[in-house]
Amino acid sequence: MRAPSMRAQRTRRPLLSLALGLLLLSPAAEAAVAMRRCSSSYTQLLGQLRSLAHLMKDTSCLLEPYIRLQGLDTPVLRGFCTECSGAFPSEDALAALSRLAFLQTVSATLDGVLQRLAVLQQKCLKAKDLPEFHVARKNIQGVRNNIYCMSELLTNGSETPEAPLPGTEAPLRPSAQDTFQAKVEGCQLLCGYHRFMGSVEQVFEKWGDSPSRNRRHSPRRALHKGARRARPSRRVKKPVPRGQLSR
Amino acid sequence: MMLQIWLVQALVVFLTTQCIGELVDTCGVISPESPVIQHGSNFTAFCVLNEKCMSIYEVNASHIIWKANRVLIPKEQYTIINTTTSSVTFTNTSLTNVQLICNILAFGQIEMNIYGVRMRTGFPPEKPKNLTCIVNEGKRMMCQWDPGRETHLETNFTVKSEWATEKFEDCKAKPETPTSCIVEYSPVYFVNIEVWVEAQNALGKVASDHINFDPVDKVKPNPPRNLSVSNSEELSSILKLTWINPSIMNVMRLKYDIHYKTKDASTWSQIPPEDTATTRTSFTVQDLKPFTEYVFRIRCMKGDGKGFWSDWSEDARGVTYEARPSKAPSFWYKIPSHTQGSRSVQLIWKTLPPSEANGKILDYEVTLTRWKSRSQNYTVNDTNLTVNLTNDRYIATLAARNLVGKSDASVLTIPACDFQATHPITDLKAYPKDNMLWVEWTPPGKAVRKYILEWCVLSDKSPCIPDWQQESGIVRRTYLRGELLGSKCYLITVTPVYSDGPGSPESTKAYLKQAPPSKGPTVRTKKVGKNEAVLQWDQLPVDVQNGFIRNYTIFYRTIIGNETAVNVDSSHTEYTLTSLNSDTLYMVRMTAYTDEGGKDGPEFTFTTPKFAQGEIEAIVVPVCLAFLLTTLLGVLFCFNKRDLIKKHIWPNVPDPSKSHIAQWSPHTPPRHNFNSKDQIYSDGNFTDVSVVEIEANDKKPFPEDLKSLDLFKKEKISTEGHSSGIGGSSCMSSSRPSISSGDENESAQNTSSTVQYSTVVHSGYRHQVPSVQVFSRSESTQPLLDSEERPEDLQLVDNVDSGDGILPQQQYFKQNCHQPKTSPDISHFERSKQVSSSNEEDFLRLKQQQISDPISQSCGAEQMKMFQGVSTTDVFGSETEAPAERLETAGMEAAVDEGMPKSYLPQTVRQGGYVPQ
Repeated sequence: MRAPSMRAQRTRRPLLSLALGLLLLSPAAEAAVAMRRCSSSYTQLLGQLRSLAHLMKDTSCLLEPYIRLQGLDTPVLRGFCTECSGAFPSEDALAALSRLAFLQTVSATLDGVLQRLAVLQQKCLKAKDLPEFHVARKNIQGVRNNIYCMSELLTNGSETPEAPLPGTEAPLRPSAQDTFQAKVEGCQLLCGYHRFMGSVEQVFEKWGDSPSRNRRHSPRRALHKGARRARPSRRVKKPVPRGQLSR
Repeated sequence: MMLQIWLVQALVVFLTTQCIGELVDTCGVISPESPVIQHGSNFTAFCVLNEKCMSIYEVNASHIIWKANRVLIPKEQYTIINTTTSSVTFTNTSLTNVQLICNILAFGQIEMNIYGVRMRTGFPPEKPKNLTCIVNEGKRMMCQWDPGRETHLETNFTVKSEWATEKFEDCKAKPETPTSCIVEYSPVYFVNIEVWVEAQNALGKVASDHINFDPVDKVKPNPPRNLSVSNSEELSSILKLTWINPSIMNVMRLKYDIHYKTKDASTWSQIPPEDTATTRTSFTVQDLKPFTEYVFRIRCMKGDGKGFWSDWSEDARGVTYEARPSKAPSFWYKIPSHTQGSRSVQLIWKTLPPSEANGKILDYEVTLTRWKSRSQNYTVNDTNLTVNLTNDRYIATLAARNLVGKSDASVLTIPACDFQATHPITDLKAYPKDNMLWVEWTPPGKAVRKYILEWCVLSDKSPCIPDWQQESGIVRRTYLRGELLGSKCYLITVTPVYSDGPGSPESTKAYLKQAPPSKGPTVRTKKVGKNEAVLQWDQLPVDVQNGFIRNYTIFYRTIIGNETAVNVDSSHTEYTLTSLNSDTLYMVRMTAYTDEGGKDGPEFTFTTPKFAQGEIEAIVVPVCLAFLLTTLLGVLFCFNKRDLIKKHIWPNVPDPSKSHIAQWSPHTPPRHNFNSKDQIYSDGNFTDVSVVEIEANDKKPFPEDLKSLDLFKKEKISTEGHSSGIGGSSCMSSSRPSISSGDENESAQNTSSTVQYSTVVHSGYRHQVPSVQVFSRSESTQPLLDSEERPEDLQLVDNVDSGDGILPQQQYFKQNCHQPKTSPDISHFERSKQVSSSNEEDFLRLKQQQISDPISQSCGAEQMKMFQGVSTTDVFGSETEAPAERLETAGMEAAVDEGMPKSYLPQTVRQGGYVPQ
């Protein structure tokens, strides 16, 4: 009677080990699969990020359709719109970050933009469907995907992650209760978004052709005015594959 | 009450439900329910019986039978698992769709359906191959793949796509398009995406290889739009293209592909790709021809070459600006009329082709210069100018002018009237090639300034209207640049033009494209003979020839005979068919052939005559001539031998009037000097004829005989001059009809009633001296000429003279009476002897018997005559010695005249004379 029991124990142990192993290795395996879908070429990834940033800085992609749609296409109102939201990190601040921190900051900022866009669409556009919003959201998601891939690429290159710029989320939260004010704030948000993407493009333009170079873009960290200078101790939060990016 | 009703209803519902449940219950099931089997694999189905049914129908698993598509499955494939379960196994299944039914034999014999399933067979999906995706600008991404082999099962294809951080919605291919799918989301450029296809059916699931790409590298842009073309007044060789790029230009750099061609060209030229490798909205095309319309088109794609070319834009057209005409016009002249001292000259020229005109020709400038005279200038809008010139030599120049400037001048020398053209070209040939009519020649030894080629359509219906073209002096071969038609005969003339005037022209004929003649030649006969026929036809008119007639073929046949074909050279218009059958209907038709085929003419029929021409004459004339000759010869012969003939067929009948008896007769006057024959006789040859004795029993009165004798004499006198005398009517006929046919019966009666004997004692016949006196008996019914026609009779008599006695008489009978050869001769002979010794009545009976005997009738008279002669001689031989002597004398006299017959006894001698019968 002991023998069968022993055999059962022997067979159960590997299965258990396998199950535990699979359980533990699952995130790593998923990450490996996700990485397989990223481009392994730093140059290509950088080019894609630049191209996306260039594409997204164009106000005709989002701001202009929004202004026309919201009836803000007057010089005065355009003047309001051009007072872009100051909630976005400045180019200098971005340039002062390490690559990984920059990537994390961009990713986090765009995450906030996504949320604001969702609120804006819900609040201002209501039933109106602006295709550019959909495209903008997909582009932001694409940038975050590429940032993830670039981060993975840079991490594997042993670049030390740096804390992203804090406080980027608070100003992006919708605050206006008045509809017109909400429209104007939305307009200013989009303006800031385009300008931010222009800054991102500029930063990416300064990136070198090699992923191994670990440098800071600029020593003038204090020049960043709109953002609190903070150095969080935690690592850069990696984007979670398959749509599980933190929001 | 209500409760009762409710209870009843509830009971009914319960019972009904139970009944239906019983009915719905099956006696067994097949497992698996919906089997899908891989093609070629083994499959086993189980039929499990219900216990209840087994007891009701008294069956178990051994009573299960299987059917596939209503066909009983062999029991070798069955397996009895237990009392309730039977299985059937299919090996190497190949059927695609089978209805499998489990049956039982209820009570061991009644077949009942228990359960049925549909069994499907197919293949698992193959791994999709060649997965590609394309992003049409402004549209969603579409992926295509090769699904592999047919599975025969419902197979779903799903396109899956993921980012590293996000998964997109699956794209399920529609059944009608199982090889492609358009995703539902808009592609995000510059973000790599991984795409693969999963194929799944009941037999399996398989995924294609994953492809990872940036959608921007799969873009097919929209084509550039609003393409426009503009020219430049400064440069007549450029055109500037402008266009609006597709909006994808904001996403990626573009490169372009620009094609252009002239308006009428069929092939496109390409702008070098390196010149259009960057994003732009305009491009200037250079090195174009002036005043030429060009067509352009453009397309674009991602600048790095990844992705797909856009579709072509719409064509855009533009015309380059004008330039000075690049060549001088072709220039020639004609002299329509010429009078003493002046001539009308028509100067003609060709409009410049657009490629040489380089613009719109406004007018032409013509100058005419005579030797040592001022030039005459003309500005002409047309392409010809008629001027009156003297007979001197002129120099004409021509220049075309457009908005920009003038062309070079064409110079033409119009020679003086007395100019003699010389130096023609040689070896002029014209032939079609590549749908053009080429002309080739060998240049003359003299330097040629240019050549003028003229051509026109040869036709019987319309005049030759020439077209012309000019070639430079170095050209040896060219093609006619007019609108030439096929099946038309062109007369082509090439004239070399020298500095001092035109040379001698040379001409040839040619077809651009030949065709079979549109009409066949009409054949006819020129002459038809017995065995040959001369066919004739006319040359086909040039309008229906459609090509050079190379040869003719004549087909001829009889109605039942095979057709015979004869090839005839095209230069002929006649042909003689030989070896024809006479008197036969022939059908003949003729086909004329060009290089491209032939055409039959109408069928013509003719009949050969039975005889050749002159053949009838050749037969008839000689025959007639031969007949005439024969006749003539016969006449001549007869003429020469007339005496002989007369002797044989027409003996000289002694004229009784000239006989001695007549002379002797007291009623007859001497007539020796009256008749010409008498004169012959009176020559002394016929000196003495004596009729010795005539005995008759004629009962007629004597005076009547004398009367008839007188009448006869008178008749004879009236026929004086005829050598034939009484018998002159025919040599073969009796003399009696010439006397009187009315007396015939009477004479016959007289003869039949009277036996008349006459003894003619003559001196021999034709110098023959009879040795025996011949006594002849004359019968009125038998003409004695029968015996006269036979000279043998006379010979026999001669033979008698030679002393052969009675034997010659027997021979005579043999010669003339062939049928009764033996006994009849004897009998006749004996009978004749009897007759000779008997009385006259016996003789008459004998005569009647001979008449009744048809065989011996003809000779009966002969026999009789001879018999009479012999018997008379025998009878009267001794008693007539004295007369016999006189007869000898008379015979000698008679023998002088050869033409006289030996005897003629148409007379009846009576007492005192004779009476002609």
